[in-house]
Amino acid sequence: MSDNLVAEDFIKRWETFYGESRTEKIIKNLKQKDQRILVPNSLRTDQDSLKLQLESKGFKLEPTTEFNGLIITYEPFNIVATPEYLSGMFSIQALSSLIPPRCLHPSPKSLVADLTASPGIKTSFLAQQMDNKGTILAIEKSTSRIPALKANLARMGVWNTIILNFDANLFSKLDIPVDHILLDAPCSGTGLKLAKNKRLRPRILKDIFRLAKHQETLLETAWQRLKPNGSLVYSTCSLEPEEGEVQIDNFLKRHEDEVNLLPIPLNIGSPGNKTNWKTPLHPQMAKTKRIFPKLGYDGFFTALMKKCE
Amino acid sequence: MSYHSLTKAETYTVETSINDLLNSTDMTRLLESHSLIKIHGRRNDVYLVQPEDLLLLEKFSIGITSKNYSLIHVRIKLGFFIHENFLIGIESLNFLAPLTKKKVHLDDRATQQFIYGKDIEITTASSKEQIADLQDQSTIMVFSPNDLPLGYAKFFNKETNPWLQNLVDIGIYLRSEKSAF
Repeated sequence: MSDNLVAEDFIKRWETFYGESRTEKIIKNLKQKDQRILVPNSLRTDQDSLKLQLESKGFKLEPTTEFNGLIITYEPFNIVATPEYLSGMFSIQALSSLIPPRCLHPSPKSLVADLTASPGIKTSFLAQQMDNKGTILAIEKSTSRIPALKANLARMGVWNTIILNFDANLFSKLDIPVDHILLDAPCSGTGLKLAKNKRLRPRILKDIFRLAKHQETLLETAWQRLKPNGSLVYSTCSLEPEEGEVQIDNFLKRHEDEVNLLPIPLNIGSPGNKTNWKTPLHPQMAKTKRIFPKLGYDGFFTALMKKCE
Repeated sequence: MSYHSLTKAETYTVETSINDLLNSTDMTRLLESHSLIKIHGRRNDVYLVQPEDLLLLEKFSIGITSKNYSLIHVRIKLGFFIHENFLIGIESLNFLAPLTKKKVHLDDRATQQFIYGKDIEITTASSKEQIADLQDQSTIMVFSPNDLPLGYAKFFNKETNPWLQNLVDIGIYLRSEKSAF
């Protein structure tokens, strides 16, 4: 079953964790080329108005059932050259990326931290939920990723953010307790469709363990600055349990009395206990979501945690 | 501290520029509840912030040394100073668009040209009607036929062919995302 896109080492791993038939499906779906999906910016428009506006220019669009998205079925010219895109009426996004911001329920008075903010699409979805009020601390470590973050937030008409260029590992040093935290952690990206990603070579396996350690540090630092009763959403676009279920399992063991794992309020994906990990995972793991790659979705893991008082 | 307030003269320049652009006193009204700041080291960008933002910014400088972090952007960037002149920035467009009373709507063809960075000669009757009362060389906001804000232009009132000089437009998000932001 191996080919030059997905190394045999990955196939063996996934067969151990998810079984042969699901692994076969994962590989098939990772090679799928997704159609472009538009997600309306609720600060500016809605699905119906956007559809009408773009169809009048010759685009053909089909509504998706989730997130009010629109699949482009015919594109007479590149949609990013339209005034509608450039004035922030919509973003183009794989649907799985919309799951983490939709798990949090920030209010227009909340203080929210997005610890790995660039390119800003998730940040803009948080702003939409907050009606462009309250404050989002958009934190990005990489200087080279800052222009994309600034441009996307400006284009989407987001004006409740403070952008900071620093390592989110230092977040706990700020004396700023926050109501909600979005931690879309840096990961191996093995759940991303191969068309936009890369070949899954064996050397990426080494990164998994290094990145899992980094994710653990980020989770700990974020948790320290979360207010009691506040919520934290953790996500990765990885199919590796070390960056998903096992990461959260270990976190629950370290903070058992402080964490309440909440169910993901979206009817998407499978419960996060589908992994045949070496040791049994925490029973609460069924509340997390494991999304396997499919049309419109990258492979993804999400957990929503509330800090007990 | 990673920011500083604008001087009185700078505040006056920003306030009058934006009031002129909006053809109202909305900027004066906004400054009753907001402040204008510049961030250290970020050229001469001007941001419109709320009082609670300033409290947060003070907390940043307590927790982390300035070597380890850099403040990039706070809430709404209005524009920037070059010497003593205030220039409006594209980042302010979506914020100011609902407030302006001085608009010019372009037709589809001119819209496409404008977002490609071109200057526009005003030819359609409806646009001519909108520019009838405009002063020569005033800064205005430019819109598409379906009222999407496209950018800022300087109006030149030439009797035979009035035209708009493109100051900045939303096409910049495609043309120079990396260099302009």
